[in-house]
Amino acid sequence: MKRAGVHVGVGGGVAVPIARLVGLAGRVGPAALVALAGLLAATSAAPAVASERSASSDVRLAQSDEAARHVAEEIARAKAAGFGRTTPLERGRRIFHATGGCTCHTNFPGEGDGAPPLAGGRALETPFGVYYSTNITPDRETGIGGWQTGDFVRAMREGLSPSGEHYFPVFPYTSFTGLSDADLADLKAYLDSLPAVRRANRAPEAWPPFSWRFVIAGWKVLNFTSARIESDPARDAAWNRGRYLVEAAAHCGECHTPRTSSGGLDRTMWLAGSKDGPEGELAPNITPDEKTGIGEWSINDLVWYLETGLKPDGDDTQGLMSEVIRHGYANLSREDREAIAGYLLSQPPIANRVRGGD
Amino acid sequence: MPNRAPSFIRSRSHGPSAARRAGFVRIAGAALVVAGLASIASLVPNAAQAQSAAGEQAVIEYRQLVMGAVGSNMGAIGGILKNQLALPGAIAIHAQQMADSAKLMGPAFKQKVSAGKTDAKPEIWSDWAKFEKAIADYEKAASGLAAAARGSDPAATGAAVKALGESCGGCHESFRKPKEQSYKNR
Repeated sequence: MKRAGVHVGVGGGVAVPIARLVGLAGRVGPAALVALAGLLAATSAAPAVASERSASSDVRLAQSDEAARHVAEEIARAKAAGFGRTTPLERGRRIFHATGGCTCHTNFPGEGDGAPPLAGGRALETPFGVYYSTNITPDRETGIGGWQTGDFVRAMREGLSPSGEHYFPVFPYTSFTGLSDADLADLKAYLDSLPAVRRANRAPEAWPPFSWRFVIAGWKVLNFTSARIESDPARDAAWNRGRYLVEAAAHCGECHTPRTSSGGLDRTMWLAGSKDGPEGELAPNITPDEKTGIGEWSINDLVWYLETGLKPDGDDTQGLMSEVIRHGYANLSREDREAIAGYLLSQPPIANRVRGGD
Repeated sequence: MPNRAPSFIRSRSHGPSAARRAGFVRIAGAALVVAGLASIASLVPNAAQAQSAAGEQAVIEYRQLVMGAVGSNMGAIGGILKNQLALPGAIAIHAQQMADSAKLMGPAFKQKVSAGKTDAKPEIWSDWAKFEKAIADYEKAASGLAAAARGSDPAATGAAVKALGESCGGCHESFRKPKEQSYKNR
């Protein structure tokens, strides 16, 4: 059972799942609109549910036998792999690259290659309006320099701001929730070491109720579970590392898995591609199906691809994928790229031809 | 706008006279002759049109073969490096072929054909100078890889491969339709 013990959050998304919900509503009609109405109705009960959930999350964060044991295991594993000699910044940089370099927080489309790194302001267009990515530089007033590590962990794991507001699921905390304590602390340390940029966050230009954060509480009830990714003892270290990278850090599924009518990830089509990828892009099927996926790619093909963006046929990569390769995956260690490749090719093949333009 | 009915309605309302009918027959006869001539004449432009459509398809196919050869060379270079194939000197030859193919690109794309089974963007022709610059950059990057591969520093070869890949990507970003709009995905 490959998927036993996988507890990543479901749902969420780089490109606003709620937006997909509307996209789906447009395609499937009344049924999806009813689902949307249901979702909105669910939000009337949401604040209470949300506070319960965040309280229980806090308990979980604080309660720490299990977490501590997990951290200890992880540190032991890291040491065994020779990473014990690295500094928190080096480890943090590694996780940063594993996320794809957090490129959604840099406004490349709007400001080109000279965009201030990680200062936010990237417009994420959705049918509800435009959401802007946030400043994650260490500027104390406009960025996250004033955050404690615990604030950062809660944002990444629970999708909650330091003041307890819900983040719109355009921020893929649904995947990042699987990251370990140690990695999140290191990632925060690494982000804190980068240049601070003063740039205020922009409010979404969305229509009510999709500009209301409390609506997200209801969405979370349907589509989000906060949980770490635990190691599967039946699998080797490389496979577990690959799963951790693919499902949590690199958040591959957020783009490469189609969405359900409630905007969550359709787990039955895990990594089988989505024609409604972020920023209107088509996200290919990356399961090892020979005809419609990457079944004909070798481990070496994938490792090379994640380093150079060059496909087996010599073609290059465009769009968001080229950004996350250049600013992220290309800078990973070969071992990490191999782990990602091995894990992807170990997934069940799903036949699903992803086509755009319709 | 004067409130008057069109002339043919007014004339009909008076009823056709004999002279008018005779005129009509003459006109109709002439029209038939003209139509007959026109239909014969129209064969000529139709044939020309068909030929030019076939010609445009041939232009598209030629361009795709030129670019396909570039891709094959890039794929081969990747295959050698990622699988550590023992093929001394091969990368330099592939890179040189890529540099040479730059000379084919300008002529291949000179004729504007942006409709049909092609992902060529109209920007190629609306910004031809930029397109030529992109080809020149690509040629330089390919020659750079050929030179690096003839040397003995694997890191330099690796960096040159990345630079070449980026020159492919840079040109594609401006001048090739993204996969979402590709004719292949329609």
